[in-house]
Amino acid sequence: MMKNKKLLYLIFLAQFLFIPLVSADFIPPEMPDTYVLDGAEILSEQTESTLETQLGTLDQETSTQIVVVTLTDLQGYTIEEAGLSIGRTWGVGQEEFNNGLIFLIAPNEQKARIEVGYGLEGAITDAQSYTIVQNSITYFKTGDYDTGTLEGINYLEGLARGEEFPLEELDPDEGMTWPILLYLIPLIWALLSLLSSSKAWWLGGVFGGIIGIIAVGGILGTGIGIIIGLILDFILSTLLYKKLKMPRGGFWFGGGGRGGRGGFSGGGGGFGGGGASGGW
Amino acid sequence: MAKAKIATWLIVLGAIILVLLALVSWVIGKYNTLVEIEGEVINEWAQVETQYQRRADLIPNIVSTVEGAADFESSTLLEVTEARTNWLDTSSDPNASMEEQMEASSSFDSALSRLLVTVESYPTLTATESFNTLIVELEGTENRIAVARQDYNDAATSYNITIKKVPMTFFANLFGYDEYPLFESDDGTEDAPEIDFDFGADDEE
Repeated sequence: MMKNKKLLYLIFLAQFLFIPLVSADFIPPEMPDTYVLDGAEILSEQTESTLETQLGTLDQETSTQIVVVTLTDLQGYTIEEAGLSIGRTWGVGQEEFNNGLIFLIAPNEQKARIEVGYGLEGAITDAQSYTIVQNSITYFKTGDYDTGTLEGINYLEGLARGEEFPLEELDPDEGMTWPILLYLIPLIWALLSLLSSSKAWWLGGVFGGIIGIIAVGGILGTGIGIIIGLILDFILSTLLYKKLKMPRGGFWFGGGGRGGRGGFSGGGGGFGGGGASGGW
Repeated sequence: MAKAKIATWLIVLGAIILVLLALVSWVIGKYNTLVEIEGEVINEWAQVETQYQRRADLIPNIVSTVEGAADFESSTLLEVTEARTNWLDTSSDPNASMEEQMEASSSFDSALSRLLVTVESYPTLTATESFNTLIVELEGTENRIAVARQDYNDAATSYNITIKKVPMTFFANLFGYDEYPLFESDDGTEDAPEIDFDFGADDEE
């Protein structure tokens, strides 16, 4: 009997631990905080630092994020799958615009790809990506990865600057949330102490109903509001009658803020397979 | 004395209402989860349709370019045109089931890949600039289709698993949420048709 119970409990728990099966995917390298990740070590230090400055400036000025990635191997996947996986996992681009781009080179597989995020698909068409990749490949063929990458990035930067994204500013909503909540706390406190100051508990139902109509709407919302209000007022009017303490704060606060920028950090990741690839 | 009794009953009543309320909000939560995860599947499906539409828009140009090439097999061209029309009809038919739409998509896939295989034996055609531009665009579209299909399959799979698990399966039955079909990955339809012309690569190797 005891054992059965334990088993049932385990099954019950397992249900929550169950992680949906995800199809096997290319495993991208760990997300760097730089715009260049030269995993295959084919770029010179000078090229890397040039690109770092160039792409950092581009990000700061236009919010468009271009990252350069070189890989020692594609783990048996196509370069399209690798590019998509990197873009999505790292979240290249801004969250609001998905203006990310990956310049990907797999020297051992002799493949290169420009993976274009949703937000840049208008500014950088597949045909343009194709031309740029082909141009870079003429250098890659001779082992000149530096020139090929620098030229490719220059072209891409030019195209990317053609599309303007409003620079990320403090979201007015985000700035407002805290002050509004700070106003709300005394208001809620006042309301609760009003309810607890009388023995009657119908007032809570009225307030609950009003809040239900405003916040949820519909018969269900109103009904639930009234019931919650009645229960709350009932508790306040009996157990907490005239001795209201501040309710434990925090439970009505939603998510947190967003980190600032400085170095490469993701956020976007909206990639749908745009761009072009080439081999040599 | 009587007052205390009433208070006890009220507390019991309150507790019952609380439990009921918790139950109701639990059911509402489950229902909303179903709406959300199905919404995701529908959204990914819309992406698939968008990308196929993109392909369908490209086909007439490709067909007319290929037609220009002397003595090109007209049967392959006719097949693609028919498959395209069939897909357009099916996807705009509100009564068509998803399985039917997927079938139309896959016959569109195979007609197109047959055309591309045939085209390869026409070097004069593959050397023309206008054809190459179209092929680059088609290549991008094919990759987008592959991505959209994979995303749809992922979303549909996780939805299908979720609605089969206890206790969600009861709610799925109650509210009439059915499984979504998946794109089959057999007979090589999962990968985009292989397009591999080496444009202007005379200096190759």
